[in-house]
Amino acid sequence: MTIAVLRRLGIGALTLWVVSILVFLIIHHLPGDPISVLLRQYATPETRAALEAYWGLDQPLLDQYVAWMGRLLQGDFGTSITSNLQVSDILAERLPRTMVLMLGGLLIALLIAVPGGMLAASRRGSLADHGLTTGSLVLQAQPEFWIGSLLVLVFGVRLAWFPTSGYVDFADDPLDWLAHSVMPMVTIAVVSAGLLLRTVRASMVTELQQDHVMLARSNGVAGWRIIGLHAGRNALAPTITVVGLQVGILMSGAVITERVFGYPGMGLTLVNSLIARDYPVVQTGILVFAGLFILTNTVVDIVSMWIDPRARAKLQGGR
Amino acid sequence: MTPTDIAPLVPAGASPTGSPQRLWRQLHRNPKTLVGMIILVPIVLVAIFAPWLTPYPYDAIYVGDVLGAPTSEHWLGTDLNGRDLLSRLIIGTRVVVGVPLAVGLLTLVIGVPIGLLAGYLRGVVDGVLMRVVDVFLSFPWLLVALGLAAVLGAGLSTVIVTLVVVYWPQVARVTRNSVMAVSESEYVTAAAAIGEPRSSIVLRYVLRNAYFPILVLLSSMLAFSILNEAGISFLGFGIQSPQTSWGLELAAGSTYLTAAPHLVIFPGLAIVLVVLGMNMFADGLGDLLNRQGRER
Repeated sequence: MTIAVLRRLGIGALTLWVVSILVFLIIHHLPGDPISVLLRQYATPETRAALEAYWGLDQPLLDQYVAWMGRLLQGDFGTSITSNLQVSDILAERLPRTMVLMLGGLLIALLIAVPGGMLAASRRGSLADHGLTTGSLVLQAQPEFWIGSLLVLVFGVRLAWFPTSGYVDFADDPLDWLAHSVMPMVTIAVVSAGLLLRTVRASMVTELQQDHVMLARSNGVAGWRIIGLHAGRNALAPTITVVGLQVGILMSGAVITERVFGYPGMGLTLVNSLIARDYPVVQTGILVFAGLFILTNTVVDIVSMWIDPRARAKLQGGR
Repeated sequence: MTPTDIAPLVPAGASPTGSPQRLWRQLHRNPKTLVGMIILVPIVLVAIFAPWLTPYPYDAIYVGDVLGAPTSEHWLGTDLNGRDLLSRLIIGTRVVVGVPLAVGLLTLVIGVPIGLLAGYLRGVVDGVLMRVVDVFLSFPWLLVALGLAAVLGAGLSTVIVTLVVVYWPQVARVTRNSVMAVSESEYVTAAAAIGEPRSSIVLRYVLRNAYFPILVLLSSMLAFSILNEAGISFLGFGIQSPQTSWGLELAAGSTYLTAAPHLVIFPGLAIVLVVLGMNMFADGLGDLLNRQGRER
C-alpha cells in the first residue's frame, strides 16, 4: 500500500514537472514577446536590452527556467502587466471563488446522480431506468454557456429570482452571495450530473450481480440495505475515480460559466488576461489549474486504492 | 487524466466478428444507434449541400432587420448585423461536421500507431509511451485551448490542434488496451507459432479484431469535440466572425439575451440536438460492444 501510494505521488510530481516545462516553453514561444507588449511603439534597442537584462531574458533558456522555478517555489508569480498587481494576490483572491463554484457544482451533480443512478440500477430495464438513462444523455449534451444563458433568461430576467451577473463576498452578505452563486453552480453541475449518473448506474448494475449481494438478498436483507450498503459501498470506488476525472470538466465548465455570469473568479481572469495578452497571469493561471487537476487526480487515485484493494493491485502492476 | 477522459469507460478487446453487413444490421436494430443516425445523417447532408440550402447568403446584411425576431422571411430571425440566422446556422453545420471529422482522422493517425506499438511490443516501449500519454491526459481541455490560443492565436486551426492534443492520448490508450486483449487470444499465438511475421500479425489479426473499442471511443469523442469547439468559439478563441460556428452565434447572441433571445435559443438547440444524436449513437455502439464482450 505504502509503495503504491509513493509510486502514485511520484507519477503526480513527474507530471507536474513536465507540465511546468511545457508551460514555460509555450510562454517563451509566444508571438509578440512580453517586452514588445509592454513597450509597444516606445521600444528602442537600448530600453529593450535593459529590460531583457532586468528580466534575465538574455540568459540561456535552461537558466531562465531554473530561475523561474525558483521564484515560483518561493510563491513569487510575477506581476500582472495590465493591472500591476502581484499575480499571487490575484490568485489568492480569485482562485478560492472558482474552487467554491466547482465544489458547489459537483455537490449538486452528485445529489442528482447518486440517487438517480441507484434508482435506475435497482429497477433495471424499467420505465424509470430508461427515463433516467435517456435523461442523463440529454444532460450530457448541454453546453454550459447555453444552460447558463437559459437560466439567466428564465430565472434572472423573466422571473427575476436571481441576479443575472456579478458577485458579492460571502463575508459581506451570505444570502446575497448564495443568490449570485446558485445559477453558476447549477450550470456547472448539469453536464457532470449526466456523466456521473451513468457511472453510478453502471457500477451499481455490476455490483448488484455479485455473489455476495445475491447471498444477502437470499438471506432476506431488505432491498434498500442491499442497494445502500452491500452494493453501494463497492460501487463507490469507480464513482470516485470518475469524480476525479470530472474535475477537468468542472474546471473547464467553471471558466465558461464565469464568463457567462461575469463571475470574477480565476477562470474569467484567465480568459480576460489572455485577451489582454497579460502573460504573467496567463502562465500562472494555467500552471495553477493544471497543478490543481493533477493533485486532485493523485488524491482520488490514492483514496480509491484505500477503498478498493483491486485498484491497489492494478496500480502496483502498472496499468 | 482529462475532463473528457472517456477511455477508462470503454471496455478492452472484443470486436463484433463478422461482415460489415452484420454490423450495419446491428446498428439499425439498436434503438439508440438508430435514433442517433436519424439525427446525424440529415445534418451531414445539410453540411455537404450547405451553400445551396441557405435562403440568403450567410454574410449578407439586411439593414433594418437588426436583431429581428423570427418572421416568414427570416424563419429564425436575424442577428446583430442583420444577417439571416438560419443561413448562418446552415453554413455552421460545416464546422459542426468538419471539425470532429478532422479531429477524428488526425487522432486516429497519431493515436492508433502509438497504441499498436505499446500494446504489441509491451515492456519498456509500453512503459515510456504510456507515461507520455499520462502526461498529455493531465491537461483539462480548456487549458490546452487557452494555452494554444496564446501561441497560435484564435481560429479554426487552434480548435483542431487543441482537440487533437486532448484526444490522441485516449485513442492511443484504448488501442493499446484493445491490442493487448486481442494479442492474448489463441489465433494470434497460433499465427506467431507458424512463423507469420510480426507486421503481418499486427495488421491481419490484431488491428482487425481490436478496432471496435476504438470506434466506440471515437464516437463519444466526436460528441465531446462538438461541445468543445462550441465552447472555444463561445469564449472567442475559436472560429472568428464573419465566419460562423454555432458556438460563436450563441456567444454573439448572449449579449442581447433580453432583446433577442432567439439568437441564443436556436443555436443552443442545434448544438444540443447534434450532440445528443452523437451521444445516442456512441451509447448504442457501447451497448453492442458490451454484448459482444459477454458473448465471448
